[in-house]
Amino acid sequence: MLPNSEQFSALLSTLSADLVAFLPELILAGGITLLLFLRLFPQLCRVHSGFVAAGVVALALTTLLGNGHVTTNADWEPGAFTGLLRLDLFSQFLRGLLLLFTLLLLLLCDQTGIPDRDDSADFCVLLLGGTLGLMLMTSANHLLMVFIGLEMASLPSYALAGFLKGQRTGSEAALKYVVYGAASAGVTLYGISLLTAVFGTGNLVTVTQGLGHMIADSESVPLLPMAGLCFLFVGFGFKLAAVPFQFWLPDVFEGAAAEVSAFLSVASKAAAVGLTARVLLLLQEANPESVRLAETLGIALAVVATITATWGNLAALTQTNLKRMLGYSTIAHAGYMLMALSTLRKDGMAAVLVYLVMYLVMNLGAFAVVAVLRNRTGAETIAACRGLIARSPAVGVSLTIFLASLLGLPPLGGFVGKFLVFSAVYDAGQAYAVAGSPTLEWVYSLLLGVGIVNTVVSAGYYLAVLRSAGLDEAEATDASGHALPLGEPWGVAVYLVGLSIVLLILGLVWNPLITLATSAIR
Amino acid sequence: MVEFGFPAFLVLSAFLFACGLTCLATKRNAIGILMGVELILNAANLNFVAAARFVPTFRLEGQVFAVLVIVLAAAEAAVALAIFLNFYNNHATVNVENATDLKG
Amino acid sequence: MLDSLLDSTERETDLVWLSVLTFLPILCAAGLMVIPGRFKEWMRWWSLLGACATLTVAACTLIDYHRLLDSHSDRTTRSLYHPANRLDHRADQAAYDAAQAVPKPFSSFNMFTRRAWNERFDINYSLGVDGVSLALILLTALVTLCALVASWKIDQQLRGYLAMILILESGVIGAFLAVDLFLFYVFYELMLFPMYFLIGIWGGGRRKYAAVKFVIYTLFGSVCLLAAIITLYSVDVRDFVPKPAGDLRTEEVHTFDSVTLSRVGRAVMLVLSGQEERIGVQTVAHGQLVPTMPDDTNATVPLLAPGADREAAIARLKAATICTPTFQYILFALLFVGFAVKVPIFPLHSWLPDAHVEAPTPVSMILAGVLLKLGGYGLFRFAFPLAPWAASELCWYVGLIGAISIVYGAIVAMGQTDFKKLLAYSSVSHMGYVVLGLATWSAGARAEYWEMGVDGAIFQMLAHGITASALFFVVGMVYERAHHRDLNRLGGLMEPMPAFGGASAILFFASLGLPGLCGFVGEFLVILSAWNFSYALAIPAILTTVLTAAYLLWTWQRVYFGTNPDTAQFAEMTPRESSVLLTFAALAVALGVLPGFLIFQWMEPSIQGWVDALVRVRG
Repeated sequence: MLPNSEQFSALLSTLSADLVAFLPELILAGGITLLLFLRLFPQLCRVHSGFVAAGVVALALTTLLGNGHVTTNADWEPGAFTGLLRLDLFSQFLRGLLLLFTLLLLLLCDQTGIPDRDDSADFCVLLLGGTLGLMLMTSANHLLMVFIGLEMASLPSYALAGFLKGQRTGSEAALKYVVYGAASAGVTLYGISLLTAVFGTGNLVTVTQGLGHMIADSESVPLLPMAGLCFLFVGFGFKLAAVPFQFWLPDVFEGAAAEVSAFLSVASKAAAVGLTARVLLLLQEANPESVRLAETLGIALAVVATITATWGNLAALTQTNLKRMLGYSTIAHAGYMLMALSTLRKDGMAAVLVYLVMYLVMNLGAFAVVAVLRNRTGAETIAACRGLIARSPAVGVSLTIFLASLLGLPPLGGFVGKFLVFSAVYDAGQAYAVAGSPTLEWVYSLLLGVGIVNTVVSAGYYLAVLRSAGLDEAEATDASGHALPLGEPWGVAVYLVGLSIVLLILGLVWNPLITLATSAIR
Repeated sequence: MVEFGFPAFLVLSAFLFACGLTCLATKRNAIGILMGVELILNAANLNFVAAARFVPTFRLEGQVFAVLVIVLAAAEAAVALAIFLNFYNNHATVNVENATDLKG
Repeated sequence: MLDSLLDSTERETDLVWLSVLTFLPILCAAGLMVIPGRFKEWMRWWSLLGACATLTVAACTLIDYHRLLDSHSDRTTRSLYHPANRLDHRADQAAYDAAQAVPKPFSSFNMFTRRAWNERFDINYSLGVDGVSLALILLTALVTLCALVASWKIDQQLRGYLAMILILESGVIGAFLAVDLFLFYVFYELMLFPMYFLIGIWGGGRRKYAAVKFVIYTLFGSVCLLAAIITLYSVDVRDFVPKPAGDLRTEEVHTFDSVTLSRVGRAVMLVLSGQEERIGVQTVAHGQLVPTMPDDTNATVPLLAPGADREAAIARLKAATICTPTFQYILFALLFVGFAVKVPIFPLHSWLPDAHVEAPTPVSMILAGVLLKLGGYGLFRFAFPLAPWAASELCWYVGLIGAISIVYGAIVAMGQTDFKKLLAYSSVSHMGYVVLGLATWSAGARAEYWEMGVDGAIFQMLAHGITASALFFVVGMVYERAHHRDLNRLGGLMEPMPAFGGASAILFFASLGLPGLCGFVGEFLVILSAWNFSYALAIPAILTTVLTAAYLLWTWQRVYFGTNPDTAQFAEMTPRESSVLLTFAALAVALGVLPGFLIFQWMEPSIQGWVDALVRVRG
C-alpha cells in the first residue's frame, strides 16, 4: 500500500511543515551529537560542555517560542508525521516547560559542579537525551510514540540515577530504578499490544475514541481493551509515582544526586502528567455528554489521588533525609495533580498545567538548596540545615519561600496552583451534579476535603525543615558562638534568590499563565 | 496443518506475560528479573505480529511496532546490564535483596 | 495599577491612601534591609518611625471617614447613619461603576477602592473602610507602635525581628481592609510565617513547640476558610453582579467579592425561610444605586443587580446547590471554625496559652491585642453575612460556645500560677464575650438589642486589645526585673514601684470590667443583649464577671501587695516603659468615660447598617 505520487507530494509538503515544528527536538538531537563529537577534539574540551548544552537548550527553546505561529494552527487532523505526533499548543506548552527546566537545571549544575569536568559531557548528553524523550512523550499521538517516548526518557534517567560513580547508594538507586522501570515499561508495552490488537491501529485518537465509546455507551467493557487501558496506566502511574507504583521514588531520590532528583521530580512528572492529561481528555471527548467515564475512571483516579497524596504526606512526616522527604513530598504533589486530572474536565487540565509551572520553580529551588547544602556541609539531612537562615540569609530565606510555596501559602506561586486545582475539583463536582450524577458531586466535594486536610498534614514536615533552618541553633559556630557563614558561591545565591522572586511574581501575576494554559487545552 | 486463530496467539502471549510477571515477582537475581522483563516484552511482541497477521488495518503498523520494540528492548538491556555491573562493583553481588542501604 | 497612579484622569486618592496604609509597614521593612548591620539603634528608630507614620495615616483616615459620614448626615437624627455610607453600598456602587460599558472615573470620595487584579477569575484588589475596620486598624497601629517601643531591649537578630513585626502589621491591616475574599485570604496567610518566626526565634524555653503548634492550628483554621472560599467561588452569581446595559451574555459568573456573595447569602436566606417574593432588584437613579433607607418599610429587599430578570434569577437560585440547608450549614461551619481558631474559642484555644507563654513580651502584646481580633472581625465581616441563614439558625449554639469560652477561660485562669498563662486564659474568656455579643441575633422589634450586642462585641475587641496588650507589657516589665513569672513568688511590688502599680491598677480594673473603664462598656452591652436573647446564655456570662473580678483581684493582690524582700530593690519604670503603660492607661480611662464620643459616634453607623441588612431578611 505505498502512496501514489499525488499522496507522496502531499506528504512531502506536510513533512517540511512538520519538520519546522519539530525543529526544537532536532536541535536537541544535534546538540547531543555535537557534545559527543566534541570529545574527539581535545583542544575544544576547554569549553565546559555544560555551557554548550545550555546553549543548545536555549537555542531549542527560542526556536520553540519562535515557532508559535507554526504550531498554533497545527490542528491538522492526522497530526504531524502522518499522525505520530501532535505538535499543538498543549505540547508546545509542555515542551517549553521541559526545555526551560532543563536550561535552569544545566545552569544549576554549572554552579554546583555535580558532573566534574571529565563526566560533564556524558551527564549533559544523558540529560538532553532524557529531555528529548520527555518532549516526545508530551507530543505523542500514537501508542508507538508513547512507548518510544517513555523508553527514551527512562533509559537516560536510569543512568543518571547512578551517575555518581563509586557510591554504594547511587548504584543501588539506579538498580532499583531500572528494575522497577523495566518491569513497568514491559507491562505498559503489553497493554499497548492489547489495545492495538483490539482497535487495529496505534493511533491515540482512534484508540481513545473507541475506548471512550465503549465506556460511555455500554454497560460492561470487554476484557481485552479494559486490561490494555489498565496496563497502559501502570506505565503512566510509574512515571507519575502514583500509589501503588511509588516504591522506587524515595529510594532513587535519596541515592541519586540532588540535581538528578530534581530532574526526575519535575521534568519526568511534567511529561507524565501531560501524557495522562492528553489521554484522559481524548477519552472524555469521545462522548462529552456522558458522566459514565467520570463515574468509573474519574472515581478510580480520585481514589488513587487520595491514597497517593495521603500516603506521600504521612510518610514524609517521619523522614530525616532531606532528599527522601522531598521525594515523599513529590509523591504527595503527584496526588494533588492527580486530583485535578481525575476531574476529566478542561478546567482541571488547565489547572494542572499551571500547577506544573509553579511546581517547576519551587521544587527546583528546594532541590537546589539541597545541592548547596551537600556541597557546603557534606550532608543532606534535615539536621544539616540547622541554623541555615543565620548561616546564610540568602539560602535560608529562599528555602523558606520554596517550602512555604510547596505548602501552598499565598502570595506565592504554589498557592495559586493549589487553589486552581482545588477549585477545579470542586467545580467538577458541581458540574457533574448538574449533568445528573449526585454521587460525583459528593466524590469531588470529598476530594476537596481530602486535599484540604492533606495540606494541613504536609505542614508538619515542611515546618520541621523550617524549624531546623530558622529556629534551631547552628551546629557550626566560631569561637564566639556565632554561626559560621555557609560560604555558598555568590552565583548560587543569585540563582536561589532569583527563583524565589520568580515564585513571588508568579503568585501575584498569574493571569497570563492561566490564559495560556486554558488556550493550550483549548 | 492446523490453522490457529488470533485468540490462540493471544492466549499464548498472555501465558508468556504471566510467566514474565511470575519471574519478576519471584526472582531475586537482577539478571533473572531482566529476563522476566524480556519475557513480557516478547509477549507483547507476539501480540503485535499476530495482530499484524490477523487484523487487516494493522498489517504494516504491527511489523513496525515489533521491530522497534526489539531495538528498544536491546537498548534497555544494555543500560540495565551496565547498571547491574556498576552495582556489582560496589556490592559484589547482583542480588536485589542486598540493595538495602536506602530505606526509611 | 502603577500607570493608573500616574495617569491624572485615573488617579484616585482612596487607592493611594488605602494602599499606603496597608503597605507602609512592609516598605519600612524593606528599608531596614539597607541599613548596615552595626547601626542597631538606627534600625529601631527607623521602624518606630514607620509605625508612627502608619498610625498617622490611620488617624488621617479616621478624619477622612468623618467627612464621608458627614456628607450624608442630617444632624437631626441621633446617629450619623446613612445607608449610602455603608461599606456594602459603596462596594456595590464601585462594582456598578466598573461594569458600565464606559467605566466611570473612580470616585475619590467614598473610602473604597477597587481595581482588577486578575480579570479572568474576577479577583479584585478592593479595599474599603468602615467604622469597624477603621477602629481595629487604629488599634493595630497603636499596639504595634507600643510593641516596637517595648522591644527596645531585643538585640538578637534585630533586623529580622523588626522586619517580621512590620510585615505582620501590614498583613493585619490588609486583612482588615480587604473586601475581596481572595485578597483577604492572602493577607490573612501573610501573618502566618512572621508570627511563626517571632515566637520560634525570640521566644522562651519551649518556643519551637509553641510556634509549630500555633502554625498548625492557624493553618487548620485557614484551610477551612480556603474550602469555604472555594465553595463560595463556585456559586453562580450572574444575577447579582451588575452588567453593562445591553449585555446579553448568559454564561455563569463567579466572584470573590464578599459584598456580592453576602447579597447571595441574604437571598438564599429569604428563599429558605419561604419569603422568596421579597427578593427585589436594585434600582438606579442618575447612575447611582438607590440605597434602602432604614425607615423604608417596603417589604422587598433589593438584592439582585440592576437589570436582572427577577423570576429567572429566583428560579436559578432555587435550583442551585447553595440554596440547600446542608450547603449553608457546611459553609457557616467552615467559616466559623476558620475564624474560631483565631478568636480563639473553646475547644480550639489550646495553641493560645502556649504561644503567649513562649512569645516575647512585644509579640504577646501583638498577639493578644491584634491577632485575636482578626477572628472576631472575620466572624463579623464574613461568617455572619456570607451564610446568614445558617447563622440565624445556629446563633443560639454559637452563643453557647461563646458562653462556654467565657466560663471555661475564667475558671482555668483561676487556677494558674504563671502570670502570662493566667492572662492567656483571661483572653479566652474575654474574647468569648465577642462571640456571645455577635450571636444574640434577635428578630423584629428586639433587633435593637442585637445591635447593642454587636456594638458591645466590637467595643469589647477594642477594650481587650488595649487592656490585654497593656497587661502583657506589665508581665514583661515584671519578668525583666524578677526573671520569673510565678505569681506565688512575686508580691510587694507596690512599695518599690508605686507609679507602675498605679498605672497597672487602672489596667487590671479595666480588664475586670469596672464601670468608668473601658472593659465595662463592652461587657455590659453584651450581657444586656444576651439577657434579652436567652437567659441560659446571659446568666453564666453575668456570673463569670464575678469570677473574672476574683481572679484578677487575687492576681493583683499576689503581685503588688504585701512585703517581699526579693522585690524590694526593683527599679521604678523607665520613661520608655512609662510611655507605653501610660498611653494604655489613659486610653482605658478615656474609652471608659467617653465611649460614645470617642468610638460609637463613628463606629455605630456601620454596625447599624450591618444589623439592618441582616435583620431585614429575617422577617
